[in-house]
Order: sequence, then structure tokens, then C-alpha cells
Amino acid sequence: MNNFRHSYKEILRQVETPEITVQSVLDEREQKKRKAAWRRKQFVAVAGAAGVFLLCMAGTVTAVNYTRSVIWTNGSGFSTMDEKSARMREAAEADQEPVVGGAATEGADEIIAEMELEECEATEYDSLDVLREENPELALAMPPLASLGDPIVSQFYMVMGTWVMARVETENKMFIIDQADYRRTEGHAASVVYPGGVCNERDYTTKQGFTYKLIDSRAEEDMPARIHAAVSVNGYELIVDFDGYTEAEVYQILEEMDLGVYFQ
Amino acid sequence: MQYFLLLKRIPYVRNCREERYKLMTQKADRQHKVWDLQEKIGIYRNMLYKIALVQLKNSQDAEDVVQEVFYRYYEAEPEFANQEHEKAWFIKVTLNHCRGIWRSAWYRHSTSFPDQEPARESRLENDYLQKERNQALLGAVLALPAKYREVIHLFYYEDLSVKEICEATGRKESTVTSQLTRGRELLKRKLKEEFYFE
Repeated sequence: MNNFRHSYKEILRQVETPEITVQSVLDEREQKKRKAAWRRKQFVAVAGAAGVFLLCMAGTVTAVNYTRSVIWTNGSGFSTMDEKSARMREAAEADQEPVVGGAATEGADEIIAEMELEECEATEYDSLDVLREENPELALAMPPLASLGDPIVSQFYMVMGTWVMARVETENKMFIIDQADYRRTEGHAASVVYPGGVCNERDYTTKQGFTYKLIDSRAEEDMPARIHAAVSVNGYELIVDFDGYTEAEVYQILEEMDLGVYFQ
Repeated sequence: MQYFLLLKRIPYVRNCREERYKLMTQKADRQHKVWDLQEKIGIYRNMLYKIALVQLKNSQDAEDVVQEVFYRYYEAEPEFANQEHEKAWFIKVTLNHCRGIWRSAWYRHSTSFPDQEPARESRLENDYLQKERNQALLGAVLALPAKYREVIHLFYYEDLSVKEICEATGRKESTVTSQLTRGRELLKRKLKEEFYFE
């Protein structure tokens, strides 16, 4: 019998560590590359919603009178649809399977490729103040940063047309808002997929009177559950991901998010 | 007239000196920070890379994580009570960053572990068997669920005590102990009693 500790050490000692230098750590270009890679990864996570944004942009942009979305959970995440299409879907559901749910899972890469072709302009920010300063008209129900935990390690905001993504990371937690503005579209359908599937569907109504649909997801069996919330407000759709937060903390943050900004 | 000029010049000269002193101090501080970073890279580079690699099973992601951890150290300038505290901080930030990557929906468990065997061929059967055994061992560790893999690695590779693992992972002592026990059980089952555990 072999000693596990010795054998394990011996194997890992043979793995060479790549060269890491002060220059490579502090080099701005390297930093940007790392951040860009991280964003790409994050981007696919919200590709479902981004895909919808594309559909809207590609179609005729007309101000119509629909302001409501229908949000429901499927086995892998949230699906959202404008009210009219949702009614049509409901009627058709008896005959065939809905096609909306699987779109983002199967075609995330295609969506990204399509987005590159469409040349959507994305503006990135690393501070909420700068985002607000440069987009004074933008409605975004960010909770106070202090409510997200301490200390904040990184902030990232991206605005792409009518789609906005905000990500705030603390040492142990991550908070993401994925916001789509459908007020000037004829209709939409979207899904957001969480790897590992979702469970524990429930509702939470804030003191402001908005009802969020909540679900839990688990990327790996042994990973802690993440909580996701979705809400539709006056033509906007918000999907909020909480990673590392307890149920009570999630409710507290949802209370701190002022959805009244979407009516101003 | 001369007297007047002299009066005017004194504060200017003083300002220049102060400015120069400030610049020099800033430069020295920056240089000191760079030297400090260089020292920390030398001490923790290997350890952090192996931790990240075993967690993420992907060499590129592991390298990115380590670079990012050192960058965060440079930016945050954390203060430590002692060396143990410093080590625990580095491990903790690395593990958290790995979890951050795990959290991303993009991460689909793509394994790209570098070749652990150097390009050295041997015809000896013993060597071949050893290589096979090593691969089985590494495979078994990498197949463990993340929470067990984390504590097994810290305990058996980094020689961290249960208390130190608690500090680095933020878990309770009872949790770490049971995770170690469970991790060992899973490894024993996978490795079919080929190894003994201390």
C-alpha cells in the first residue's frame, strides 16, 4: 500500500506552475484580457436575455400598448414572454411542446455569434456613479451597494441598447441584475438557463407591492444553492441572481430595490 | 528690490521641495509595494496555482485566478497580524475566486489539466504501473465534489491543520473534520484500498 499524502504530493509537484511575474500581474493589457475573459463567461450566463434583446432590435420597433410580461419557471430557469404571446402559447400548449424554454440552452454560442454580426455596441463601466452620470435617463433599480455585503471587490456594469447588466462582487457573494426594457417592442420571448436545474419555486411580495418569482439553482450537488428572482415592471424585466446570500438577505435586498424608478 | 524677490522666492522653493519630497515618497511607496508583491508571488505562486488548478481543473483558469489574486493583494494592501493570517488570506481569496468561476454559468467543467508527467519515457514496468497509479489517484481526487476536494488538497498537499483549513475556508471545525472523513471514504472506495491515509 502507498502513502496517499506522499503520492499526491509527488504527482502535483510534477505539475509546473506557469510563470507569474509582477509585470504580468500589474500589466494593464493582461488585466484587461483577464477581465474580458471573465466578462465573456458572465455574458453567456445572461445570453438568454441578450438573445431576446436581439430579437427586439431586429424586429420593428414600435411603441405598442403592452406593458406586461408573463414570467414562469421551467426545469432549468426562467422563461418570460409578453402577455399576448403567452396567451397564444397557453392555447397552443395543449397541442405541442413550448419552444421557448430550450432556445437559450441549445444556442448560446449561436446567439453570441449573431450578436457579433449585429455589432451591438456595449458600453462598460466599473462604477455605478459613472454609469448614472453618463446615462442620466437610465432606469436601474440598484439596491444601495452597502446592502450587498462588505467589502465590495468588484463592480461591473454593461449597457447595450435597452439591455443592462450589473454585477457586484464581494469577497463571498455575487449579485447580478439583468434588465431588459421591452416597452418599445411588439413582443418578446426569453429564457434564462441555470446549469444544474432549478427548484423551490416561490413568490415574494415587497412592501412596495411588487411580486418577485423566486427559484433556487445548484450548479453542483455540493455547491450552495443560488437564489434567482424575476419580476416584470411596466415593460421592464428584471432577473436578479444572488450567489452566496441567505434567503433573509435576499428579501432584504429586494426590499431595498426601488422599482418605482421604472414608472418615472 | 532684491529683498522683495527673495521674499517671493522662498515660498516657491519650499513648495518645490515639498512637491519633490511628496513625489519621491510616492515613488518609494510604489517601489516598496512592487517589491512586496514580488516577494508574495515568490512565496505563494506555487501553492495558489495548485489550489486553483485542483479546484477548477483547468490550467488557464487557474493561472488567471492566481494573477487576479495577486492583483487584488496589490490593490487592497491588506494588513496581516502574522504570516499564518497572510497565508489564510491568500488561500481564502483564491478559493473564493475559484467559486466565482464555478458560479458562472459558462463554466462547464471543461478539464484541461497539464501533463503531470514530464517527457521522460521509461520501459520499466514499475514506472508504468506507478504512472497508472498516479493517474488513478489524481483522477479520484479531481472527481471528488468541490467541498471535499478543497479540504483534501489543503490537508494532504498543503499540510494545513484542521484549524488552519477552518480559517482559510470559513467553515466550522466539525464541518471540516466530517468533510475530510467523507472525502477519504470516497477516495478509498475509488482507489480500492491501494493507498493508506494518515
